[in-house]
Amino acid sequence: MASVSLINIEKRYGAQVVIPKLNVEIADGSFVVLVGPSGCGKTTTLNMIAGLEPITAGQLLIGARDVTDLPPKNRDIAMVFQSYALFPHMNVFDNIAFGMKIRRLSRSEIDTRVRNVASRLRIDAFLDRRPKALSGGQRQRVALARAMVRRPGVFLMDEPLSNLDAKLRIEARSFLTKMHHEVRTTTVYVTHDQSEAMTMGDTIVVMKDGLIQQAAAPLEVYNEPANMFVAGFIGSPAMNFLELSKADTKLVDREHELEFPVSDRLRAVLDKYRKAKVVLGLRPDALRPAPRNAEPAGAPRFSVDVAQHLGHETLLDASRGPHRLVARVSGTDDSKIGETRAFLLDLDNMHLFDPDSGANLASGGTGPNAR
Amino acid sequence: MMSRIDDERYSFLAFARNHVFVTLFGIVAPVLLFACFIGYPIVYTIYLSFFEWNGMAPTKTFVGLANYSYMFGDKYFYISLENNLKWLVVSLAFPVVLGFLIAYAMRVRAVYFPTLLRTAIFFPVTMSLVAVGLMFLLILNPIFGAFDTVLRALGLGFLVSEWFGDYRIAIYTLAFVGGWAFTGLPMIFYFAGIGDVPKETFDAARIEGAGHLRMMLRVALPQLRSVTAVVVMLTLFESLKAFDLIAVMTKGAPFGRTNVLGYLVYLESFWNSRFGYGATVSVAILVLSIAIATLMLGTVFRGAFDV
Amino acid sequence: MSSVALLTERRTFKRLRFAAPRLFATLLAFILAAIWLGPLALMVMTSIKPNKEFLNGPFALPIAPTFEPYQKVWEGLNFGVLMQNSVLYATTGSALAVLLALVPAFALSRFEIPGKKYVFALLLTGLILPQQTVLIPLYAVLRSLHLLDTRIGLIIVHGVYGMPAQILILRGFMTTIPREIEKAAQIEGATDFQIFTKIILPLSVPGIVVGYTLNFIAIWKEFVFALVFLNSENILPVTVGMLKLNSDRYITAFNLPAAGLVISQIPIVILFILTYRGISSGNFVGSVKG
Repeated sequence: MASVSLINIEKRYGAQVVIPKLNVEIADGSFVVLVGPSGCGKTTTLNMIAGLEPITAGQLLIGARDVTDLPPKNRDIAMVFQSYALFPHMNVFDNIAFGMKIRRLSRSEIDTRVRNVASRLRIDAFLDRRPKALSGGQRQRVALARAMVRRPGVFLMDEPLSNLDAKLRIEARSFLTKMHHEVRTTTVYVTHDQSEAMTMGDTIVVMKDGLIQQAAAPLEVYNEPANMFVAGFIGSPAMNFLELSKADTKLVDREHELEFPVSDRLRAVLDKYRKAKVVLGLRPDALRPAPRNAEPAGAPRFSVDVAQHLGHETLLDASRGPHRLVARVSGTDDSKIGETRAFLLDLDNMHLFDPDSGANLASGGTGPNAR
Repeated sequence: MMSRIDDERYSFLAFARNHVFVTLFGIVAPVLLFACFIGYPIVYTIYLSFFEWNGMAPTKTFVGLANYSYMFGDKYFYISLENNLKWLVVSLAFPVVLGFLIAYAMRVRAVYFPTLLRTAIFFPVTMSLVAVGLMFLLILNPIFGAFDTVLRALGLGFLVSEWFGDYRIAIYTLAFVGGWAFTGLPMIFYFAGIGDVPKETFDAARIEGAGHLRMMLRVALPQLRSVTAVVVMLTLFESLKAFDLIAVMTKGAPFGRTNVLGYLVYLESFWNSRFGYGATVSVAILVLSIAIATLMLGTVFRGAFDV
Repeated sequence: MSSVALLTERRTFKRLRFAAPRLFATLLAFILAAIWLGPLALMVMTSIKPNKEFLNGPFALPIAPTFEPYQKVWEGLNFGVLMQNSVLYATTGSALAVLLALVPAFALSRFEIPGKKYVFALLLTGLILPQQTVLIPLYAVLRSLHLLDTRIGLIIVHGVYGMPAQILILRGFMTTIPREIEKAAQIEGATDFQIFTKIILPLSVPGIVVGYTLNFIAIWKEFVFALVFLNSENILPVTVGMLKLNSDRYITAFNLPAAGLVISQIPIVILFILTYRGISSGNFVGSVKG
């Protein structure tokens, strides 16, 4: 068990700066998910924690020990790879026992620990099989067993579920979470899948271009995104953004006859805001069509372009002038394509962003490219 | 691996400190072996080319560039050089082009029993050239040889020649025998190469109405540039190395007309005991092979070996 | 996709779908067979003809086939000794070449080494160097080491000169082993040496087999080094010993040299049959190219 601290970590390849300055504090026993689009630096960060890539500058502490320049084997870590990286010429037992054999543990000790972890992960029936004789899910658990058996202070996981098919992935997700609740080993988990991040992490670290956009608990990231990037990245379908003008206590686009009221909380924010333009962020769930016979006057009206019927719900792609949005509505909704409908808003579920910096006006956060 | 390529301090020494085993046995040991068994001999050859030495005497006589000026006036040097070039031309025209055509024919199934034939054509690649030479001495024998018998049976009796006796054709005879034994190699390379070319490109060309000729020249060959580069390089060095067949079949006869540079080195050094001059001809071969290799890699095959 | 499948999968070649006219295909097959199988078949046939049938012409089938020519050349050339020597040179020389090449191939395939391209340039020089250009100095080196005209001297030369090609073949093979497997071993605490012995080496066995086989064939064929560096009858390999067949004593009735060259090729035929799939389907090309 160990905490992990990244202090002013920097990564350069020659003149190219991949990670300018990274500070992350990972508490002992927590499950931290690094999430972001490809090329955001999350895997590089993980590899630096693992010792697979050197740290250009800064300091890395694992359990209060400075490991910045130590090789992987002295860092008290284990890693699960996307491709599982099982040794194809060894059977499951030897795969799991590899690290302990390298460390010259006694034969009986190795045997008990391998069998122990194998039974917990329900792979004890395959111990003498080669990896190629296993299914994807079984291989994934062997990789996990190999990491767990050494009882390291930190687990590092690099997209461990993305080689599984959709159904297995959901199973493995809850399995991993359950395992973490049992063993409580500090885990750093890298993924590009925002739903994995939301469901698995205690803390989500959203990254873009080597910079941390927001590091917080999943629901906080969802409900109070620091900026437009986080707001757009977390949540599916993504948040809708409408660029509007400030008019007194409302947000408007006069040219296209759109008018949005705001809640009291946001009105206070708007009062302090000096620019004329503002971006309104609306989650797809914050919109629903008003009944046709009771359309309130002044409600924003959008014409329905596409209706995606998913059964339990329907996604409406709607537009007006340059504005486009997606609304997640009831599966029984009967909007016709081409029909113009008035939408009711959930006033407590609206976000305001600075159109230039992208920062969330309410949280006082910074924009995605601030350093 | 921990490799600090991003670090200004990163140097060979830094690498060596972190990877002692790899540096010692993976870099230093082979480089030392190279230095002793390949580097030193090359340097020594160049050194020796400025001396006169019979190979036995304890002293060598420094003669400056005398060996070189002798070489440029040596009739046999020019004959040998010309023969190497003839050999190269024949090798590029016969085994390489034919190997490609055969590989293509097998891929498009324009031939029956492709597996059997591929084995048969590749088999001579595994034969020693001494055996190949001996075999064709028997087959091309002017009196009892099978080849002349076949020609006469086909009504081509007028083509029958003194395959080794006629100084105008002897070198071509040798080059063709060499080509017979070599064809399997380009064939295998092209066979594998065409197998790697996306089949869809052939299908697309066919739907557009391309014939075999067009598909070979416009679809297959352009996608096989790196294979061609490897094959041509192999052929080039094979032609410059030509030795075995000559040693077995003609020993340079008639009148040194089938000498090649490699055989000239051997004759001058180990039969005429003129090691200095032998070294000089060696240097010529070396310069020639490096020059041609550089020329080809820099022009026709520029970028073909980029991985 | 797991790495296992990648490593063990035998490359299956896609055949193109269009067939040529039947007559053309038959004709082509016949011509190719005549040119490449013809001479070989002719030699086998000639080798079992008794002397007196020689004048019946090269294509006359043997009337009273006999193995007498085989017996004569086997004894006359002392083929038993020649074979033993060639097998010795080919097995040990190739083993030496592969052994010398393993760690360098590992180094060049898995590490970013400063100055790597110079090592590569050196390798290629060794590969393209015409043997004749180093004959004289190698002769001198071997003489000063008292290795001239010895088995061990020739084996060392073969080992060193086989090494560059082996490095390229093995390096090509090793680069196909997924990087993550090696990273996993590193995380599990393996040193470079342990990664090499426990991971890379066992996974490279197919590449080693291909490399060894090609090297074996190359040494079996080799002629120049053996001709120049060896002199004593009892240590000559087949290629040099066979030269005697090209003399009036043996060449008169053709059956003796024919038998000799059939014998000389037997070990290669056996090797060819054993490794046929690996070699002649061109699968090795990928590992050489890489």
